[in-house]
Amino acid sequence: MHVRLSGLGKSYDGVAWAVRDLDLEIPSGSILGLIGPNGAGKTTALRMMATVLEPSRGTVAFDGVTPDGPEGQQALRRRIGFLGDGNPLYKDLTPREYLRFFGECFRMDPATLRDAIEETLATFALEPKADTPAGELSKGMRQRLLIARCLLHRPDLLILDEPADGLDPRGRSELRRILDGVRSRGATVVVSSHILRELDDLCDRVAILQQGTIVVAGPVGEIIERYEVGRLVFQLRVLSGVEAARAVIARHRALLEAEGELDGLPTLSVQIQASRVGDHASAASPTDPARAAEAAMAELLSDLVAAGVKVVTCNRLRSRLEDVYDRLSDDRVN
Amino acid sequence: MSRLARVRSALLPFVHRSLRGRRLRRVGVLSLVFTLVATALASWIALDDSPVAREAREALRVERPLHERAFFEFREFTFTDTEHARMTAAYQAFAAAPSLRENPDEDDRTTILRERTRSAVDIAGAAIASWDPARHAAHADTVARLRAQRDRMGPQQQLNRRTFDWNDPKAVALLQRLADDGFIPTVTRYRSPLSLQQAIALVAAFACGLLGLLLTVVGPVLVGIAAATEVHENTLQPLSGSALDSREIALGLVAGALAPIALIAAPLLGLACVGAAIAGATTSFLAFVGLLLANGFAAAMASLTVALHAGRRRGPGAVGMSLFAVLGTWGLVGLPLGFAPVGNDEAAALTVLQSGGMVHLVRDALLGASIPTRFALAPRFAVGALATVVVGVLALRAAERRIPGRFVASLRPVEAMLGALTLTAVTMVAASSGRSIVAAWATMAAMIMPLQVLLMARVPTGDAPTGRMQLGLRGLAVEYAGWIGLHLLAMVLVFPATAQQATWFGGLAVAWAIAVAGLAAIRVVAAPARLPTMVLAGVAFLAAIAAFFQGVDAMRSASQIRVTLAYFHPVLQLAVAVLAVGIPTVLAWPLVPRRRAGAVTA
Repeated sequence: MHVRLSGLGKSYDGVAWAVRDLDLEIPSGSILGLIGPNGAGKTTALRMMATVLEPSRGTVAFDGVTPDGPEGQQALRRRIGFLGDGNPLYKDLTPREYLRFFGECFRMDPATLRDAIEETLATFALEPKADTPAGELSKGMRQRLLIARCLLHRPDLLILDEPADGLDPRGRSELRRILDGVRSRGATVVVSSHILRELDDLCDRVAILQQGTIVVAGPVGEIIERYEVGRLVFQLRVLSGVEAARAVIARHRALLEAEGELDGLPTLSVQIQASRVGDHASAASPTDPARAAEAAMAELLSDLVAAGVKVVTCNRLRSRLEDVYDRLSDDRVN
Repeated sequence: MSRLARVRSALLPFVHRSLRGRRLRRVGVLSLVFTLVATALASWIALDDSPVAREAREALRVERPLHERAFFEFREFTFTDTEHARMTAAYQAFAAAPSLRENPDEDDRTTILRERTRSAVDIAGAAIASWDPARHAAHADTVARLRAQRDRMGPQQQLNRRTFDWNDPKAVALLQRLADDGFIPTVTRYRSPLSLQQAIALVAAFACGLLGLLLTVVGPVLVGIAAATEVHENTLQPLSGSALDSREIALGLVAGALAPIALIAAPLLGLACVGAAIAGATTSFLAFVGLLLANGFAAAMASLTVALHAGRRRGPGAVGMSLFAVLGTWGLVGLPLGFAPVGNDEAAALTVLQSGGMVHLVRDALLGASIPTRFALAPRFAVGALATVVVGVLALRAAERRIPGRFVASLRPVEAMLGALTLTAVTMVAASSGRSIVAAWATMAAMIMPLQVLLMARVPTGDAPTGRMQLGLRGLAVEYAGWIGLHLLAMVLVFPATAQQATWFGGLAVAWAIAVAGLAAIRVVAAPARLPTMVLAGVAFLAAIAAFFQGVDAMRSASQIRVTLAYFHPVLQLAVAVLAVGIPTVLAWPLVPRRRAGAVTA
């Protein structure tokens, strides 16, 4: 589903704008990440996209059509899956009952619903707890159930407000896999998160909101290029050979940003420059700067090992979106 | 998809959720138990001979009080076989040689019989003494028999009773009974006077009472708790994003909460139908069902709306208890009217308090009582039911606007006007049997609180922070004045004395009271719900009530109020003047917009 926001604005009290002048294109089959500090208007914008909040100004068009009146909105909602902020569950309903309830609320026919419930329970690994009251589920499982509810009726547009809240690393990885799956069947995904590392590998497009307005929006690669943020930062935790490591890093013309200590071992924060991407463009991803930078880091790592540096761990510290965000944001909130 | 199919598919998820798993079985068992207990209890009350069952029958007006039966049927009732045997023995001994003279050796039972015989002789004596052969010739035979029986008793003492009403058919029937029985009461083993058919009717009446309780109190309270839970736990938000519209969600919430009640009520309704069919009073029974459904619908919708509002600030338990208190009291206040003799005031109250109307209809349909026609109760019930349905529809409209949480008024101007006109119509019909100026102003008094509710429903609320929103105070004032104006017009048309007896002071006081009540209503909704706001609104409302009654009093007696004011100390007069200006000013001050609604700019 193609979504277009035109001059979208919302004022709750007629005095101040919560969001204003939102102009945004979300192509069909893409994943858009909505980024912004608390109070920037992400939730308001998502709720207007999900048609559950009336805009004070402007329109949201879905596949070129602006829903006209309540009936149009009802028909449209059957094509939207929306996970709002802080959505609670019915504590006394089991996951199976919960999914059945919402499937019926989306007017799914009984046979389709029955199959969809079993499939969704399996997809979200909820089968073992399918008949346990939601109040007895862990926080992560509850969050999974909430997301499962949004996907039950196979929406063309999936809107998720902070979906990774409460998910453990495995759950987050599962979520990314599921969202990839949703995209692969042609659905559009809009997701907000304050954990930018979760988004930059996943999203095709990103929009950064500040004080209710979009400060930048577009494909992730373009934005990173526009703001000249072609760098990745990795943290190395070494057992020994810090001196040798410094020399290898200098030889690779990588920037040693900081040194420190973590769990009793020295750490080195290394920034891989975008200018080196061309040197490491691989056959698999000749133009992907992230892959190229990772290849450069892999080469550096192999040289470190060859130089006798005992590397215990190597973690990516910051995403490139975080760099963009840092450059744009002065973290003011409404 | 047809509209009906859409509504059905919208209600199903909520009904399924409500009756999921073992709940359906549990509700089924509860329904069976409820029906059996109701049947057993009603049958016991109808047929048992115990004093408790008899008292219950007397309270339900299906049996005359025992002392009345004993008097008019001239019987001495016994309650156990032993007592009956002893009393019968005493009767036989006394009947063989009846004497009115006290005998110190006689036992208690003989004393009872002798006292009653003495009383009967007394009544017969008064009847004989006041008998006029010209006016009561038809009773000559009875009088002759009474004389013969009295002579049988020997010389009489002076009569205690001096009068007898020959025009009272019950008294005359008693005389015939005395003549037949020779002044000695028949000893009768007490048995319930109700036949099996009457017992079935009583079971049906019981079922009707339980239906009333379930549909107008328990069901609506459950609706309120369910809605308050949804609001309190923020679970309405995902529902708003589903394929259901706000009305379908509102109706779904009601259907889900009422599904168990419907299962429990179904066999009771069956019992009631059987009883009505046997009793043959289907018209009254159908009228009862209509009134019940109208009231149940309105109560459920009103509970839903209240819960959707209150659930944001109060827990479901508090909302449920408040609703139970209000609906229970509303129902209980009306119940005694269903058993009371109907006069002007009762007829007026029955138009509004429909639980009384329902009791009248059940008694008419099943318990052999007839609805008084003197005050034309049936049209009052019809008008009341219609108004109740309008209230229910308006409450549903208000509820569906609250579900998305958008910043809108709960009712549109035309809906609020419909509500105001309905209230005017009901109060006019209620007071139509009175013609005094007090009756006219009573209609206005009855209007004020409902109009406040309507006004609250016209204040926009929702996703804006309370106290920062744009109210449109002038528009609200115009609407409120319009409702009041139309009601005044109706008052003048129905009660012409209202205009003739209007005084400037009375009019001013009433106008002040109405304005302050309106401002207090707006303030409660528009301002943040803090204690000072609530206290201020409460004080203002009390002041409005006092001013209203002062005003109406001034209409009745203009000179009286002038005298009262003149007696006030000047300081008190000044205080009254300060309050008269101060209260509305304090109420209105925070409501006046400091910034224009168009302040939002790009």
